[in-house]
Amino acid sequence: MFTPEDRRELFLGALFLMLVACHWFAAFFYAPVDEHQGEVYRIMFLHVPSAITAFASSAALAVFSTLGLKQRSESSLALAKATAEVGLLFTLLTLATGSIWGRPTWGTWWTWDARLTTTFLLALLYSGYLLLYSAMPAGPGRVRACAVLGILIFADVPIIYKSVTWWRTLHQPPSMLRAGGPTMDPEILWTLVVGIATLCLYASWLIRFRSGNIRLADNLEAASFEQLHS
Amino acid sequence: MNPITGITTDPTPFLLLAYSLGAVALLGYAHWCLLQRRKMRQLLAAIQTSSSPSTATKR
Repeated sequence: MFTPEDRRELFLGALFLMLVACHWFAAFFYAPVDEHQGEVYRIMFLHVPSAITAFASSAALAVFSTLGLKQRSESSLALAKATAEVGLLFTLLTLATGSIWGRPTWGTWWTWDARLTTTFLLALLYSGYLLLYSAMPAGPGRVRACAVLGILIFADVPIIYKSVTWWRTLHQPPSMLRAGGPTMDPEILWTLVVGIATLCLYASWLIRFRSGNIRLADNLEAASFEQLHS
Repeated sequence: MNPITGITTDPTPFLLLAYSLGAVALLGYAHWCLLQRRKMRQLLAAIQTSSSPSTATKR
């Protein structure tokens, strides 16, 4: 039942998923053991790329929302909605993996630390966006309201990034983007960079595929409406 | 080892839990999108078939 275009998209998705699997293999068998934390630090290779993908999704959401506001088009809104869904998925994954990592290293699953709280806020904002989209009828009003919220969500990302320097937190300070260069071992750093790249690629594929579904649902609605009235 | 408390914990369950959750999230969402696409293509094809003039003549 899939079209040749669908098959091409699925092939690309499978390829990106294989890249993610290769990265996970490298995370366990290429990256050396951490001197202080031991093996458990390998959660970082899932946690940090998920977090950066969630933040990149909010930047993409702001771009699509701005385009939607300018063009007043439903196609930009479809892309923005798919981005919000993928952003929520990766934010929840960041919170879950961070919590799992926190138990053996901090001795707690959760604490209302500034970094954790602002990331939790991002998940709430993404959920709010999806609720707003579902609650409003299709039309220019929904495009405008969702676009404004989509742009506002991005404002949380610099707060999340700076939270570890603005407030006293349990979360570690930046170790990649910092003055004086990264503090990590080059093998660990490269594994992490590759992980960020592969997860961002996979997320962009998910956004593309899901937005295609949203547009297809609109076409389906239009076709069934036409059939009912013919 | 926990650098604060100095307590050594077995990392295996934590690693297993985190990566299993990651796999479920990445594959689960893609699988849901895939099923959705297939269902919509089927519905769209059914609508197009039922509204085409040749089908209407047959009926």
